[in-house]
Amino acid sequence: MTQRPDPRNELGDATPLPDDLLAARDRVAEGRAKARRALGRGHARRRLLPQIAAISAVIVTLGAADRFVQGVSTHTASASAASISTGPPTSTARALAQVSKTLAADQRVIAALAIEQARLVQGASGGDGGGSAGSSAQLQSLPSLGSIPSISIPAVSAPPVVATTGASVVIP
Amino acid sequence: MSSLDVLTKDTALDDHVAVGRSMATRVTIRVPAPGTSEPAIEQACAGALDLFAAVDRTCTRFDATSNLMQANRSPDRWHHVPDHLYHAIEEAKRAHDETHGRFDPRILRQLIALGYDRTLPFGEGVLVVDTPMPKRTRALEPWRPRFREAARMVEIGPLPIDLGGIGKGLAVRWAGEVLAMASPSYLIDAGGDCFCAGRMADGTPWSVGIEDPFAPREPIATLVLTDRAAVTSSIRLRRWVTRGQRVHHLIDPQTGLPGGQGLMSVTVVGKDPARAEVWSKALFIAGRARITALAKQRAIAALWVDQDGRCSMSAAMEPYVQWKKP
Repeated sequence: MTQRPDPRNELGDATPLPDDLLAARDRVAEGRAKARRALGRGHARRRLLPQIAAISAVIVTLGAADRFVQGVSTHTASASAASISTGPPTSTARALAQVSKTLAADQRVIAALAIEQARLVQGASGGDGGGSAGSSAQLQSLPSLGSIPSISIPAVSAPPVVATTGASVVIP
Repeated sequence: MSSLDVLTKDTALDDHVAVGRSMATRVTIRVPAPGTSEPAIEQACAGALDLFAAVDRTCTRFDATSNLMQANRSPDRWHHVPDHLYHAIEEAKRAHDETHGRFDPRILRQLIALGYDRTLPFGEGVLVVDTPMPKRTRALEPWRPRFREAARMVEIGPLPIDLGGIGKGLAVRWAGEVLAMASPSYLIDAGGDCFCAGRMADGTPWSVGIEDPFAPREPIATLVLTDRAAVTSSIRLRRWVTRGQRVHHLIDPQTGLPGGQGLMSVTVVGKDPARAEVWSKALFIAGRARITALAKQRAIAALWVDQDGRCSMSAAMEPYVQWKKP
């Protein structure tokens, strides 16, 4: 059976939610507010921050966004598990739908923030538009551990060779 | 009489190995044994080593009777010259133009003025040559030798020339053409100049070490090469002291004095050994301050070691580098 969210619950619901869901929603709302404030400061940053500060902000954002998304995933999973045992099925489903919607909105805000940060970097470094698009794409698809390329460590001793190029030895 | 001293078999690598001496250095040729007959390989190796000897005989500046030195006695006159010398001067002119004068065979007078007028005993401790330090010269006008191809005649120009900066590379190129008639795969190792055709007997690319100028028994990097030359210009050996000043044999045509400020060696990888040799010298002359930009501008695969022991390379060199000293 497909659960459709009640339109009356778009902004609020009289049905009491489990505490952990409320806590998760609060945290998400707080994150969204932070993201909006960061977006609002974008223009000021472009004017005021030196290049190095903008680059640092991107690096910090990458890590923070990654942790945030990972954290959201954890909250969603724990909320679903909790709802099975503590809440009435219908109200829990509605609450879950609302949290999911909020999460989706927040992820859009995060993506927008990442794009804004990339544009800040691009503006600070004076690069072309192609570089900006590349940066945005990189920031939106946050790397997972599995996607990190392996690094080959060179051997300490040289492999065997059949000839050597160098100063030619003088033979009388 | 053949220039081939030894023809043997390297059983570990399954190669025929021919060794000879030419151009004051040891020349080693390797040909993978599978699919080849020993008599054919012996004939090809002997022919290749004879070619080295012929180029040396006609193009050396260390023998007053060589065709080059005979022409150098009156360089502004027309001279009949053997094919090898004719083509060598043609190639030198091409290299001069391609490098915008960074390669210039007219540095002979400066080498002689520095005391390098004969084969010197390099590598036997600090070499002192008692001769006055020459003064800095003005940059020369572009070199304009003249050629009469059908008659194999050449007019070098007002100044005598030294083909030491390209002669061995040409000998490797031409010896390779001889060997190619016997086998698609071979390696020529003529001191600083190598050419690797095809692959080793086991099917892998040839592996060539680049000498560390500060520790010549060890490579500073190793290369994997197929159908490529690797040539090094180095001042590890050919340097001496003149009136208290350390000098070497790589002369900057712009100043008439030893060039390559801050560098010890430059290795270039390319399709042709003669062009690789020319560019290894031109890049060396550019010096530590300009070599990176020049190698990038000309898309040259180059690796260089500076006087602080730092090893650097151009982006075009990276695909060939198998290992680099940490």
